[in-house]
Amino acid sequence: MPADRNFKIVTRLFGVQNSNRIDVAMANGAYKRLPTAFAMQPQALVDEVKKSNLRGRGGAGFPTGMKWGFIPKGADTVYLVCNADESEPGTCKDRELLFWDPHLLVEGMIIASYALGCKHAYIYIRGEMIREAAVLQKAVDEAYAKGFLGREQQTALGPYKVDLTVHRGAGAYICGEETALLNSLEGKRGWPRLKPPFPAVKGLFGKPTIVNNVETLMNIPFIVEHGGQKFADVGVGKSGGTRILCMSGHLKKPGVFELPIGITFRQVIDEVCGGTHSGKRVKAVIPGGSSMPPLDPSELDVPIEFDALMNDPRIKPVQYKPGHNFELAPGKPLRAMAGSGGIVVMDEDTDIVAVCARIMRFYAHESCGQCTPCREGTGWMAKICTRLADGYGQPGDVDLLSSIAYGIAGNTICPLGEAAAWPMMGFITKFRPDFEARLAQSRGLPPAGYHGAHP
Amino acid sequence: MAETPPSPIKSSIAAALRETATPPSPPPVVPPAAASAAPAGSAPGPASPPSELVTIKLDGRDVQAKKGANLLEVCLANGVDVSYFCYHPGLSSPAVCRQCLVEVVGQPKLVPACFTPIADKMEVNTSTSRVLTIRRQMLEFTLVNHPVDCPICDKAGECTLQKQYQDWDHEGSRSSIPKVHKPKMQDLGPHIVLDAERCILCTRCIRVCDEVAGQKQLTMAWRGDREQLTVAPGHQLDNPYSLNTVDVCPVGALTSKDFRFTMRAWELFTTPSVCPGCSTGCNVEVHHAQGEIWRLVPRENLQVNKYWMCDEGRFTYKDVRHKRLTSARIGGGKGQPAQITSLDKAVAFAAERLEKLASSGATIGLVYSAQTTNEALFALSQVAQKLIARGANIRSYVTGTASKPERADKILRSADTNPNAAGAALFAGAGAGDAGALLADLKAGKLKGLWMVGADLPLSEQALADAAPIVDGLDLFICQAASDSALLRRAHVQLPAAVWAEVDGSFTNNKHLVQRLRKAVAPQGDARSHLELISQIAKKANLASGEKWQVSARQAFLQMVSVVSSSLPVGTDPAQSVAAGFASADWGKEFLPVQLRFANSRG
Repeated sequence: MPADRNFKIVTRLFGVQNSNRIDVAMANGAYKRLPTAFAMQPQALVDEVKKSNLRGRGGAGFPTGMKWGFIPKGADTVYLVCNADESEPGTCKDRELLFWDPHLLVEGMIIASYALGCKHAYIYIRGEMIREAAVLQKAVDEAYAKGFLGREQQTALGPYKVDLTVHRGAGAYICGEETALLNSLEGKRGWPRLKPPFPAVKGLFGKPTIVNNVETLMNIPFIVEHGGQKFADVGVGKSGGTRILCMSGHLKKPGVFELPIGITFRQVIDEVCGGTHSGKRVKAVIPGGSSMPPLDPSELDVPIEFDALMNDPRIKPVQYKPGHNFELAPGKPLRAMAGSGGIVVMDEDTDIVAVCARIMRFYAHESCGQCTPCREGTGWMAKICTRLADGYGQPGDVDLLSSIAYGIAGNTICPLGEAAAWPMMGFITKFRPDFEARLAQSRGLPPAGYHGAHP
Repeated sequence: MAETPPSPIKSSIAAALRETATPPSPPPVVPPAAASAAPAGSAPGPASPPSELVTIKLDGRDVQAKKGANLLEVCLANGVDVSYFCYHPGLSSPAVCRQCLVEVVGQPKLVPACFTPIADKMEVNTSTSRVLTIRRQMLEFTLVNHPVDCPICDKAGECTLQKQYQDWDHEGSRSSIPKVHKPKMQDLGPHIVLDAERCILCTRCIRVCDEVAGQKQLTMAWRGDREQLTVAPGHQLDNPYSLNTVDVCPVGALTSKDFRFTMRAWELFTTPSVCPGCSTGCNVEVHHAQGEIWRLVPRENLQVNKYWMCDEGRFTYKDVRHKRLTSARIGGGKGQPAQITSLDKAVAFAAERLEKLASSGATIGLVYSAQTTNEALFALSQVAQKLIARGANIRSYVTGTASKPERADKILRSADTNPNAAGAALFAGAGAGDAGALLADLKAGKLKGLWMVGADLPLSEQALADAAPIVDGLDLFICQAASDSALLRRAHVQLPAAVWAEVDGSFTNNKHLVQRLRKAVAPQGDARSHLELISQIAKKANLASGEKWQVSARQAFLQMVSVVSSSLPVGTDPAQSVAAGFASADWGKEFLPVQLRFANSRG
């Protein structure tokens, strides 16, 4: 782990004027890694990425090199899709990355495409990111004009050409799920697909497809330039590189920071962000986007690293009812996850029930409606939680919320079910007194005309 | 909360009906559902050699199953009840209802049985407390926004959701939130009405349109718990197989405009039969009560129609009710109105005149209608031989309703609208003429007598009325018909015939399968089956007495099969020859109408 918190891999151009213009970007080293990459055999590139311990930055933290290795040998058509549909509440890193350094992404995608044998890559960008989509499209156009895209290059395998298309989504959280994204990209309804088969075997247009996050792909040029080992050395344990953290909430200095992996929550909050803006104690921290179980103040000394957050015994296991741990696998309780790096800090004045209700309304609104538990369960939780927050809780509501969440978690087609259920169970596990207190103040049944979660 | 699973479901009526389906399919190694051609998408994972049998542990017992087969189908075949909504044996599995979640040892999450291929040494638990808790929870989710308006719902009594609730839950609701409101009574197309609130979004109807009808007409709109089924703006659910969506709908969301609010499902009785709409011969269940047919629904037969039938076929039951000839009439011809009389008198009149005509050596035309059963046509062919023995000169004709090339598709509908064209051609013999030849011969005055078994001609009503006077030159015109027509009104003897749903018998379809019809309702008025009318005339005319085919439809069938197969070289392929189809025909067992209250759900 580098002691230096100023060590940057992907945010080097943040704050540089006109950094998204190709001349400025090239003056800062963009596309310089292409000849190195093209001189290597694709398999050597994949091995380098495997060696680098690069893990997916979208949220699941799956090793990127291993994912690339799932492409069937001898596949004739392979697609690379960049998932720029960043919609997880609390996460805002990809937007900044796309705005400041789109050419790093384009370069990363060219290298990744070459490594995977992909001849046409796609960037699926969130519909709401209008400004970033324009910046990205301009960057792609510039790369075409310079001949990095759409023109044959000499490589170790002979002439190689890749095309890149930017596609804007229509504004659905679920289209950030890779298979829903592929459906959406194909022009279908953004419904997640059943797995198996996984996209690496049968993805876009039925062909082997790799879907990677923006930040993941932007790390590739560094790996090519400095080698996988260097990237792994920068990180900690099985997590290579740095981590971008999106700090928001009741902080004095919120923002998007590229920090070394292994920094603890308390260090980030106090040293990087200057503590809470009110100076009050922290009450709760959402560790990696709103779909992760929250942490309470006693759990903030855990390093922000994929494996630590999952396994560190200092983090209390999430329970689906008092005394019963929710297990991801037998003997493996759910604690927390690093997710997408969206850290939301709440000070002690925060109304936890209202926060929970707001999160639940988000998932109820964004559930795609394909499978029953998520479709009905998220709406149900949102309505009860909102009712509870508004002071109309009914006896048994807290247990009912846990029980609904338990019914959803793990039983859905895609992870949106868990994304709604884990925070629900997590908030109740760690802040049950808040919920009970709100229930005790209940004013009874809601008045006529009360619509709660669906105004 | 019970730790033990509720008892497996009663064997459904569908299974009972399937056993009686004719022709008998070869003994299946695996259940019919599993043997069906797996639609694309339903078999995830490697498709491996299909015949490879592996042993899995299902709730602790060893079960043999095909590798790669659908786990849900294996469970059902082995009497393990796994509840489900979105799975359908004839469609792909989207695994959206999550009702069939089961535990596979070694997998941390529960898996949907309908989307899990069988693997060797797999251990499956379907009734641990975890599975039962989650299954009940899924059912609760499904019911959260369901209006539970069973008392006024058309599907009540045959609703899968209702049945699942009774089988698995029986508990009060924990939900005290207002339900999501969605459009009710939405007109989706010419035959179908949608109640979006009742819809549980299983997508079966969407898949029926996509995968069976091949027309993408339905889709989902909105998302989350506001999601609802819809047709694209300005479009309609109007494909020729649209009513299958009502059959597969596990709840009362999609209802048939034709059937809704006519009968409660549990008051209906079901009789297995065959659709008379075209030469495909889709297997159907006739749903009837109070002596009337209320609807036809498809009956599973993987050789013919799988689980489906077309909309047009469903409405063939209406002809059973309407424009029927219910009493015998004699004395018509040459424009004179016929007099209503008793059936016996009419038969005696016909027999006397027929006998006379035959002995005089006159030329008599016999019309084999492709709308009538094999048994009646066989009987007519037997009578024809007797008439020839008496000295008559016999000419045979095969007629039927007009072919409609525009209705043919590669799914189920065929251009030939006659259900028994193959049978009629076989019994009329090789030298038989068609309807055109009949009209030509009538016009030329070549016939002295004409006996029509079924007055079906490929002419429009107007064309028939215009052509009718050509029969005026006949000395004797016996017409057996189910409904009134211009031609019938000119016959000297007009005999009311029963239609397909009122008789026992068989039809031969275009694949040479001899399929069994069963009597669902009593014939209207004095109507009798064609076979019975032929038999009575033959008896009175001393053409036949005590012959096997005169005893009953079953005896006629048995005699027919033995006669046809005795004239057949051994080992002929049924696909090549109609006669070979008869050789493998089976009368099946007798089947009393079953009241649908014992049938549980059909969805």
